[in-house]
Amino acid sequence: MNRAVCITTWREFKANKVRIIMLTLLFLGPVVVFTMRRCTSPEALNEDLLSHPCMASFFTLLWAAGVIGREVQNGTIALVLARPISIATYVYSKWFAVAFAASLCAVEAVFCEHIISAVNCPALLWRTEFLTNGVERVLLCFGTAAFLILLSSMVSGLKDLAVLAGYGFSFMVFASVSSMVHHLCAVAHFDPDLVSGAFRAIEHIFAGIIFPYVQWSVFFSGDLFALGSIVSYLTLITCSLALAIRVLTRKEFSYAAD
Amino acid sequence: MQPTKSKSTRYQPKGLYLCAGALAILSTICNFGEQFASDYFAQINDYLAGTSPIQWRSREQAVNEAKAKRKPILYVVLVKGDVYSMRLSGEGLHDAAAAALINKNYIPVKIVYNEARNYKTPKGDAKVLYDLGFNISNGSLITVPWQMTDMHCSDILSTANLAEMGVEDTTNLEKGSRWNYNQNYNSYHTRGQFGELYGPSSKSIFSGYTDRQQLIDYLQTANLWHQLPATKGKIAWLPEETLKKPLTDKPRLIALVENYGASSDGMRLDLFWRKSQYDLINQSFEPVLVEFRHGDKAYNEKFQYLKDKYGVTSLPALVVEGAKLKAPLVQFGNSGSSGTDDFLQSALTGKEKTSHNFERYPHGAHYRAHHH
Repeated sequence: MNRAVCITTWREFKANKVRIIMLTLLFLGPVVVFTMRRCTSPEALNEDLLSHPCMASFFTLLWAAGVIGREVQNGTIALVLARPISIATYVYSKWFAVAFAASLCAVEAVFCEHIISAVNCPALLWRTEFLTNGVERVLLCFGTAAFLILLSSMVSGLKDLAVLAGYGFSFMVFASVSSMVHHLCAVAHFDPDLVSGAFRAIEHIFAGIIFPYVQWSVFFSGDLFALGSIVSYLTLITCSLALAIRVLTRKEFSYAAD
Repeated sequence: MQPTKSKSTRYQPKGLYLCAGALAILSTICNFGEQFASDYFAQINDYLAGTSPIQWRSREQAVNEAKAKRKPILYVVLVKGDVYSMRLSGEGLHDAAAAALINKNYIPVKIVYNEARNYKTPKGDAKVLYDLGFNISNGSLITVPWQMTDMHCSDILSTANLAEMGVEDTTNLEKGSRWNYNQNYNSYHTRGQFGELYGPSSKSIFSGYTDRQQLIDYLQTANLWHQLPATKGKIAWLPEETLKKPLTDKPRLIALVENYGASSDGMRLDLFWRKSQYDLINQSFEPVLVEFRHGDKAYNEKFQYLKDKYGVTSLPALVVEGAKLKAPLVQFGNSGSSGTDDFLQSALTGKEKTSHNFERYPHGAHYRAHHH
């Protein structure tokens, strides 16, 4: 981990006004929705209205988009690597910088939402749901950040967003195909166990990569099935970082790649 | 001066690669294992969790025992891979206090359901619940009163007891609106997901286990489900002996209803509580309520002659007999407020009146004159 790389990443984000505006909107979006709910439904005043932990994915996306790609594009990476830093350290630092910053934003957002709920109904102050929500957000940020770092290392500039869109599209196509195959099996009176099981497993992998959501309760379930989701989560992080390092070490960098 | 040791720029972290490879293999095994070998996982899991202190029965045993001991059946549906089921089976069902409550107040049946994730039709006991209309794709606890073991999900979840419905103010009921109470009833799946005890149906179904206290709260109240009598509304019912007396100037309205079931509950709430209708019935009819008890053949035997006499095969039904009517008029099923308005007017005037409601739903509730 390199402190200078982390700080540079955060400073760079601060300089980008569009991202700052989008970050503010991400904060305000759920707050506005909840305020409208409170205005229209008095029951909502007594509820701890918290947005879903999936909001953390959007915060991470905002922080991670083009985090390596842009440095490759404008040649900064060549200057950074001229220092005694290995590509592995550079990737770890970028991952940590993005995940930490996104976690901070996501946790702060849920904390604000909780405080607003508590202002409306002080009895909600000691409800611990927001803590669970916060922990799940942090896990989600670190998982998503690893995958987005991989995408960013593969292409230059902000093209990783296009790759991400392509990934989502292929996931949808795959889901449609698997559903079609399942129905065809049923029509043909063919036992669909094997086919549908395989499709479901691949769907899980697809979904787990783009949305590595681990429920906090899994850690306390005392169940073997819980192991699967934790292993998948760790796999995503290690494989993404390993691939990102592998891709970057095989690239030639210049002061102006594109 | 000693030179600083640093790794080369293109240093390859072999440890990370190895770790990633191993985890990828393990993850694939876990993922495909979940799809194809869940039963083995479940067996190992049960072994690790230890013996459950709950005395499980098979469904067949439970139905007989529930009727003999007059205790409700508690179906514990555990779905493989469902996080709430994991917690419920790992923590909730091994809790001594919860287990003691279950053993004391319920006849428990455990249903492990593996097929939800593989698009298969459920088998065994899971199929029975599925056929009864229960949503078993999520882990849940379902309490079925001993009198209702053969009834459909909609009948079990329905209630016409105002306390069970949580109705304190009957203004809406008197206006003929059940909407406020039905909204909880219809959305129990989504609300239940968060483990909150909302609405009447949540007293029978509990899903989305998150902690022991919620489970204990549910177990302490769910065994009382359907132990309170259904409402008789604001109609001034005459005693059953009136049926043996000769007809008077006023036409006699006989309401044949069951003590349980969505249709009978619907009639109680639509007709017996609606001001315009109970005013009309109290003024112009001789109302008699005949309550059948679901599954109690010995008790129902004494009213069987009414069913035979008016050709009633399913409950609820309304019958009007009067000196001015050529033949008794019978309404089969609950036709809602507007349909019953027409029925009562027809009974008073002797002229058949059909509302749009009937034309639109020709296969729903209907009424006809019953000729002997």
